[in-house]
Amino acid sequence: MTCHPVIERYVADLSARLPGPRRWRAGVLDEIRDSLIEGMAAHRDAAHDAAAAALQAVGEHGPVDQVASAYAPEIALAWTRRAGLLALGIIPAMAIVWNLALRVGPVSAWHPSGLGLHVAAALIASGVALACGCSGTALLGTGRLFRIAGHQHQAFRLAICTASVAVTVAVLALLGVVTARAVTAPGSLEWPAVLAALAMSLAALAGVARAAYRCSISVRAVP
Amino acid sequence: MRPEALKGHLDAMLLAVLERGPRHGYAVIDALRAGSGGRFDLPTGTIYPALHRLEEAGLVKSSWSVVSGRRRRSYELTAAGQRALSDERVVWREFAAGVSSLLETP
Repeated sequence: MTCHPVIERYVADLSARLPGPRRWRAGVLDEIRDSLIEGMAAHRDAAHDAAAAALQAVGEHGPVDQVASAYAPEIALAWTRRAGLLALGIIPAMAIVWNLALRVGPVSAWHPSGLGLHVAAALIASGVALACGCSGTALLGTGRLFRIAGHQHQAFRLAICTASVAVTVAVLALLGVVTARAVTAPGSLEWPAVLAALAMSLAALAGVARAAYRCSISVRAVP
Repeated sequence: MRPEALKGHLDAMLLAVLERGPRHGYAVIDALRAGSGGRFDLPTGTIYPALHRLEEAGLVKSSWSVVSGRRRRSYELTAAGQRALSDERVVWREFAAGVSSLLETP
């Protein structure tokens, strides 16, 4: 039995109300479509026509808003894990990129000194440590290892938001160091490499911020 | 029966349905309806998140296949799910005995 337009419209309406990751949503919608087609087939004999059977199957499935709301905890879990993985992936990538970018220039031409550098180094180190710790906690807490403990959505949301702020602080402190070096010893930098690292950092920060925002919104929707 | 009345019991009922063998989503819903003599009229759309939650908890596992050109997800009970179902049965018997004794004694 093929998919009836009534079912396709219902699935499309539901898709618009499931703000989860694309792959997760595709699986959910495939499952629902299959169920509706099975439901329609079950009602086909008693119904007057295919449209009536499809309407009955859709009616049994429940109002779109109610069904979408039932998926809210699952969506929150998916976004929390996505944000945690993104933050944990970006930190080592940024460390490698900036290490390469700052080492390719003639480093010996820069002679840093002063309190500012120490503060920036402390901010970078603590930001990285905090971001890794919070992201790791959210990932472990939402993973299968600790599934028996249940999912504390609000706590994981706080961990993800803290991780994203910590990553931002670390990157801003790093940019402060690079700016200081650029001002005091511009010849010590290999500018194409620095600009490439800067562009990657901004893109990474935007990605982390977006993932944290989605995590936050989805957790708020959990009944 | 109103859906609210089933709160807290849905997971055990889903596990009981899957104890009889692997089933795809609509077959689970159909078995739930038939097994309850049509008393449980839940919106079927809310059953799937419950099945996913059970899978996340390791009590059931799912697999995908292609049937009539469309993707179908089927569920089966795990060993942990079987143990959880046994525990739920004990809890339910005690609960039902207590409630019956209170409600049916004049």
